[in-house]
Amino acid sequence: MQEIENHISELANGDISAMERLYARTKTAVYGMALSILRNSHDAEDVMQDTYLRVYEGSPNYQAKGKPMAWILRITRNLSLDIVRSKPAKELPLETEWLPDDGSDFSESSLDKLVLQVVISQLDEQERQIVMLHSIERLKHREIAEILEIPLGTALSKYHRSLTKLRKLLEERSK
Amino acid sequence: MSDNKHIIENRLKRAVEEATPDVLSNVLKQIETEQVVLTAKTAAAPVTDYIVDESSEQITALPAQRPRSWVWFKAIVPVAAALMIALSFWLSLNYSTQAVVAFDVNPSIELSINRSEKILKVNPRNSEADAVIGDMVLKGIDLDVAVNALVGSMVQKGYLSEINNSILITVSSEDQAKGEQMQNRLAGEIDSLLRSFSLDGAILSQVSTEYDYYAELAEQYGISPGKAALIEQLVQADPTITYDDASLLSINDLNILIEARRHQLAKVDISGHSSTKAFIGIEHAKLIAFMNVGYSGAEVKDLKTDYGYVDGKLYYKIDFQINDLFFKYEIDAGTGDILKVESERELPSVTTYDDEDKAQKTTIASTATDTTAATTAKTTAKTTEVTAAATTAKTTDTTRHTPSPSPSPSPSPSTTLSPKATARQYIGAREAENIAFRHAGVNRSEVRDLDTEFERDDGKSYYEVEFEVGDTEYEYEIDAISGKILDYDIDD
Repeated sequence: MQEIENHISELANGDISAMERLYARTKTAVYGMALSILRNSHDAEDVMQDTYLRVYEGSPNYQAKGKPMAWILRITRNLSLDIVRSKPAKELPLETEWLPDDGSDFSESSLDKLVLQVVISQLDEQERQIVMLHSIERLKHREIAEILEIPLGTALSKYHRSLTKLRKLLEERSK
Repeated sequence: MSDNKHIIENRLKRAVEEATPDVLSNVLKQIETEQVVLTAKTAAAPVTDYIVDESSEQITALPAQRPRSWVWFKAIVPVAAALMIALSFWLSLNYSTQAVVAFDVNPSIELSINRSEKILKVNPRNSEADAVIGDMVLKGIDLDVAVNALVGSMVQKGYLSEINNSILITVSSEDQAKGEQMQNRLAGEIDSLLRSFSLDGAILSQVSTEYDYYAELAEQYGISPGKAALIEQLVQADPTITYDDASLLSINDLNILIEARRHQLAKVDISGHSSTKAFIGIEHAKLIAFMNVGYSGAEVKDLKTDYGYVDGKLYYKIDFQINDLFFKYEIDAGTGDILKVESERELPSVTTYDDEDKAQKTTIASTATDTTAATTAKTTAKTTEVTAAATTAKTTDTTRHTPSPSPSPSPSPSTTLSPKATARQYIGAREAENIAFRHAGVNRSEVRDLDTEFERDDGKSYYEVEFEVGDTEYEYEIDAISGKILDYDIDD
């Protein structure tokens, strides 16, 4: 996390090249967070772009507290929720383009996509966010609870429930 | 599950990595535009050109500025490096933690050990643990010796006893196989140790490969990581239990719940049975409920019993049906106090009438399966009768009772008895024990072989409390209603 904090500090000091390093280090988590809320790649991409602009703008005011990832992901979450609030549900279609075309492709990459598809289509919004943050960024449950503003117990139980659900769904689909 | 979990998580991570679009160039363009706008507006200091990498120039200039090294320094570098490797290897063998072994009763103690199973660090997680450790210096000694000393101290100080006989062993190790080996060995050792103290212990043991995860959970609930791991298993097996409630229960109470509800926890080995000797017992609790309603067990249908918990204490849940009335009782497992009563209709009031014709009599059979309940209720029925008026009202009645520390007086035959008054007839086994302990001038923690039974003799209810302190045996008979000492015997 110190590394991310350094990049933000460099950005605040006008070192724009730090954005490349920050982006490389955080892009998957930011995109995963946006995708878990918006469930389609187009909106998630927009949010991703806006997130880094907000990070750049906010970097001079960022106070290092050892939780830079939480700060960035909160920005992503708020921007995503703004889009959810601004659009009726029907305009936020569930995207399934990352699905393997049929059940015949069992390459590693297709199986990975299948997991993502099941996460996006079968878990509720909070479950998606918890599973994404834990899987991608390996954030601690306490940090996830802080970002999502939920009790730790809820984060833990939802995480375990989600993983159990995913395991069952994936087993069913592989039959 | 653990393997599957990691596989799923890794697949998800790879899929999102694969799907993540590249927006960096757009971001940089927009930042550039923003900077131009800002510069034009403020005419401030020149904007840093991020294409020029000034830092790399500094790095390349550094070697030229370094002072020259001495020749002898070059010569000793390989030797020093070899020594450092040897030293770090030795340190890693002797000073790096290979496993954390935790013991939870209520005292909660963690021992960090190295590869040779010597204690590196002792972590008492609560004040009870401090009391158990006392002046003992455990650092540097063998794990087995430390376990012996700690369990002995827990027994001596009364934390492990006949009424609280459950201990949880948690081995946190990244090596599952070694962890399991240690778990089995320690469970066996502690079982033998407890037997040597004439204690039938209940030993719960588990291996955890995710110490940090449980440490985080433990911190939130003010418990130990080992207890957190146990609770997580229990919560998964029984969704009606929450972390908040379970974290307040002792290991023995958690074990009582696990046994009573017959939960199979995949990662926890349990040997022996949890003690319920501090409790009045389910039969006594049923009796209290039936007497409170004014019926014997004979008319009871659909009787269901379970444990509930509130504020870290267990109570008995007793649900049953009599005629068309449904009752739900919550009775304090330790004291026998009625905590809560619910009935689908209004609770029957219990009244004594001089003229039998004015009341609708209820016959109480003495052929109940619960002999104690039937006998007691029959005795009660000689002086009280139950009105049927209550069966007409179609309302739910819920009464939450606040237990009284002092015993209530015996009900007068001429007064109308509320359910509350009847419920408090008995002081409860624990209070009876406390009365006996006070009279004997002993503390509960000193007591061994405590045996308390509810007895009825010639219509008199009393608790027979037997226990030993040192070489002295004590035997008390305490009136179950007034708390008066009816008889006692001290045998030196």
